[in-house]
Amino acid sequence: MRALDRVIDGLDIETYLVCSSEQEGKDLALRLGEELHLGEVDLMFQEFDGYGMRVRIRKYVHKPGDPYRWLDAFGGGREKGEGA
Amino acid sequence: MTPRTILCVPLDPVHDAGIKIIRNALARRGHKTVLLSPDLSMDAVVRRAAAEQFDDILVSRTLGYGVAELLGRFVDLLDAAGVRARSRVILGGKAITAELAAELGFDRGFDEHTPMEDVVAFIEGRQRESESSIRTRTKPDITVDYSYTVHDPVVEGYLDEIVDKLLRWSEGKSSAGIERMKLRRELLQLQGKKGTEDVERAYRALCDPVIVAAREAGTLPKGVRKVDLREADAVREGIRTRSAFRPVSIRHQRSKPLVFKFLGSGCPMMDLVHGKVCERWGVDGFLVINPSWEARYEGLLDGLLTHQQDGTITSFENVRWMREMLDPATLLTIRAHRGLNTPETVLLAGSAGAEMTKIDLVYGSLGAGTDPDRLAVDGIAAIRLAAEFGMPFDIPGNDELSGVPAWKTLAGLLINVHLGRKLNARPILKPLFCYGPHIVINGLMDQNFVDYNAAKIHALRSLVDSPIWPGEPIAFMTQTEDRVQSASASAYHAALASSLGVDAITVASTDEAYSRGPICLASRIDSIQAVREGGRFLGTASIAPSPAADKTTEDMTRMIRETLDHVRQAADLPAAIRDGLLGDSEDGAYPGTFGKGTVVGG
Amino acid sequence: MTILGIAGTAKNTGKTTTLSALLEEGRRRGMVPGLTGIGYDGEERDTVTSLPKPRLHVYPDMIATTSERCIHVSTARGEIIARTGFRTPLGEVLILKITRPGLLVVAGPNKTAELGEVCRAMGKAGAGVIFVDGSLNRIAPFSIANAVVFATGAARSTDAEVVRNETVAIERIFSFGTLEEKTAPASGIVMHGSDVWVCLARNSVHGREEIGRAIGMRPPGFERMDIPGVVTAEGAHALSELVVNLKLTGEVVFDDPVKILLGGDPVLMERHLTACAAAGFLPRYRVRPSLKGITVNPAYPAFDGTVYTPAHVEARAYVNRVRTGVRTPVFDIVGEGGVAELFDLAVSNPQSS
Repeated sequence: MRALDRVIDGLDIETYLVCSSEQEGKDLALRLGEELHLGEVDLMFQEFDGYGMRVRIRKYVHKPGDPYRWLDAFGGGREKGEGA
Repeated sequence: MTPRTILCVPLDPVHDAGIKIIRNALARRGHKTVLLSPDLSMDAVVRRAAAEQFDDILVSRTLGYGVAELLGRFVDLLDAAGVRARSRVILGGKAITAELAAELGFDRGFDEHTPMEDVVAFIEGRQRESESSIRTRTKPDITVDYSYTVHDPVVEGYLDEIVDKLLRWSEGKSSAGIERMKLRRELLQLQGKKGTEDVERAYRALCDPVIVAAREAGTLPKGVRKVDLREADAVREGIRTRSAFRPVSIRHQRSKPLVFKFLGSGCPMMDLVHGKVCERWGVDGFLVINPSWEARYEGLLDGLLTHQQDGTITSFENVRWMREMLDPATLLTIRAHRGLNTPETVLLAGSAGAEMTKIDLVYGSLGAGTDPDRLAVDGIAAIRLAAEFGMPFDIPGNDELSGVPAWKTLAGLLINVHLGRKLNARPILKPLFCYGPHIVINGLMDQNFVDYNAAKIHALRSLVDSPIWPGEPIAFMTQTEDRVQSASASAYHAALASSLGVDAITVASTDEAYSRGPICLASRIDSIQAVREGGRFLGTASIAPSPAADKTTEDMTRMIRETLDHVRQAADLPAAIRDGLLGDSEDGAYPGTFGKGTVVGG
Repeated sequence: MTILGIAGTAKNTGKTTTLSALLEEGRRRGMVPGLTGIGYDGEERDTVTSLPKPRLHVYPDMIATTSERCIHVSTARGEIIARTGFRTPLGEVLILKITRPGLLVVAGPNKTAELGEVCRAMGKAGAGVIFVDGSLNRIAPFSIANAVVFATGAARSTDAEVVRNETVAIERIFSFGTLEEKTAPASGIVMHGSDVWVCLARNSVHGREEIGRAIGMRPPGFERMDIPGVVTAEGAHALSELVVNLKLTGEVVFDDPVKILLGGDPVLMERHLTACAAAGFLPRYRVRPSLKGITVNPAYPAFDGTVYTPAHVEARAYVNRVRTGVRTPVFDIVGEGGVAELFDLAVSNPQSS
């Protein structure tokens, strides 16, 4: 089990990227997902301010209808005391 | 209550503010308290505890290196000195959990987040503990205090005329939606017994091919699949064996507004887990949002179904499953108003135990909605069903989002309320707290976001005595994809709603403005937290609209009256909608086309 | 009925490891012991250090107690055979008969009196031997046990010499004799001579002042002093000084060795009692659990001021150092094994010392 499997739906990364243009910031944001081994990520929010860019990046780990890898940890695969 | 004698022991030389606060609270309740000085040795404390009769010994200590052993020895000393046999020993401090208190041998542990009432309740032997507060919540009914009296006789005359005309127009009319609802009622009664097949065949005859394929051959629409048994069991088991840890309340010193959230990820399992978590964070109810395609097809799917796109399928099984596993006090609203299955959806919702539904004859037939004739016929049948099930229905004024001016939208809401009242149902007004296109274009909120929203509420209140539930969600179109901006916008609008004393609000998530993916749980919690903080900040205080709000209220009321006057003069409500009297093409509203020409009889 | 307490000199000294090994040995021998605890133990992670901890594995027909809220998080199944009415922060204490093997989170009654009642109920339910899991450094409830195993090790001190000295002291404290006749607990410090005087109310912690006052009021022909409850290190020091200075002879009777250990640093407590004994004023107990074994855990959580990380001392040298001068068998259960021997000592023949 990876910790990532326990992410119920999405993982947001919020940070500030030093860059020189909005386009560079967007490129960096998307590359960040690759570098963090998250694969393709969505850029939810960005605001370039002249010095860099405030970003909110999202990786959907479990989308609705997917098989949820956290499901066993949530409730399955575990026997219960019948005294309950 | 017998006053108790309590020894308060600050075992922590630095952090003794907490125990002083608790001591004061207990003293105010009439208990006898003794506060020791923080510099006593442990032996001296135990000797004092042993020398007198104390009912409770409250110890405060912040956890740190070696502190657990120290506290363990303290409890041991009390035990060996015979004190444990007659006094309860309670530990309070930062990061103290029930598990730690148990490990250290205390009778109870409280941390810095424990509400004071819980500490007092424990001391007094009452069962008011946050851990159980979700289970002991009572189911609220936000319509109970309202008479639906129309205050303005002129407006009442207009509304009577509009509604009477509508009801007369609808007499003898029916639709496939209404017929299916009747067949569905039979199916629910038969429960698979003899005769089911014939009724099912008749039902399918009234469905679109996509639905027939699913019901007949099990070929589900793209992206839809059955929830498998193992998945359902795991979710059920998780919910059965877990409970909300220290549930919180969003409201501070107020009983209103109730806080609602949308559920409609597509997957009932995901919805349910989100829902359980939101219950813990203080949410009072949920609105189940169905997929947009569900509204366009004649007929509904059956079974516990998950869907990979936005919107959770409102099958009987999905609704019942969610209803059974949410807390009994949590309110569940099922959207029914947009589409070709309005009466049947209300029937399923009511049969599955949902508390409320959502019907709006006007908004539901504008924009990408249903044909006005069809929705009028179906909507009336749906409202009658809501009355039969005792389910209040809310009327969302979301036509404002397409550019309809607020007064036209509010006029539409009032028509629905009056119709609901005539049909013995319990309607709820749902004006928007939004920065809608008409407002932006005309600069109506350039000064602030308070006056115009307040004016809507004041105008509605001056006209009718009805519950008001701003939505949907509040702060709509003020929010961006930025998390903090979005959460703050929700919080400020919630504070305004609270100030205005409305009955409920619908709160967005901090990713509501992000349209390319489903809502995430963390984003839901973010908004709830912000709203809670806003509630704490405002408390019993109020936000005062500027003097300009009075003028806006006056204008709004006048224009609502004028709109109703225009509608009254139309042949009937569907005709008025088609004529654009409640929103025209210039506003950005077009009459819906789904189900056009499907009304029969009359 | 045998009640075996697993006590620790500190947190993370390996109580749970010792207990797990004993339970496994019991299962191997086809025994069905009872299991309870004086606090909450067997959690996956230590509640203070957040480091992983072993959990207790139970098997069918064992009688075990835990608190209601722990049942959900346990994987073992059991049938509730009694509700005790005792409450811990984790709910009511329940007595279970295990029906399906698995891990059990044990959170038993945490007061001496309640532990005694629970053990009686477990005995009635058929448990011939009851293991009592310790919690942290807590020992007070073990005064009702008839056998004790102490867990110590690097978590107590990474200096083997410190642990050795403490272990020697504990062993010595447990070695003083018991009264021949069974007596009820005294209601205060009682001074026996040609007359019997009760000096102070019970239920207290006796320090220098209380001890001094009692001795000052000793009756003619003074020959015995009963000190119920706890004596602090200062109290014990005062006692030894007065015994030597006043040349007192006879005996001093404490409730049990646990009360001595609670008084303060075992090394100091032992020194004062030994001084009394050397002067002819012999320490005695009303009741005394037998010290059956010592387990030494070379692993410990290292604390850098912010986080705990798993660490260990050099096992062999450390354990051997602790063994020096200790007559009670010393085990490194994980490193060297020996659980069968410990089981024989502690369980099979619990009454002998």
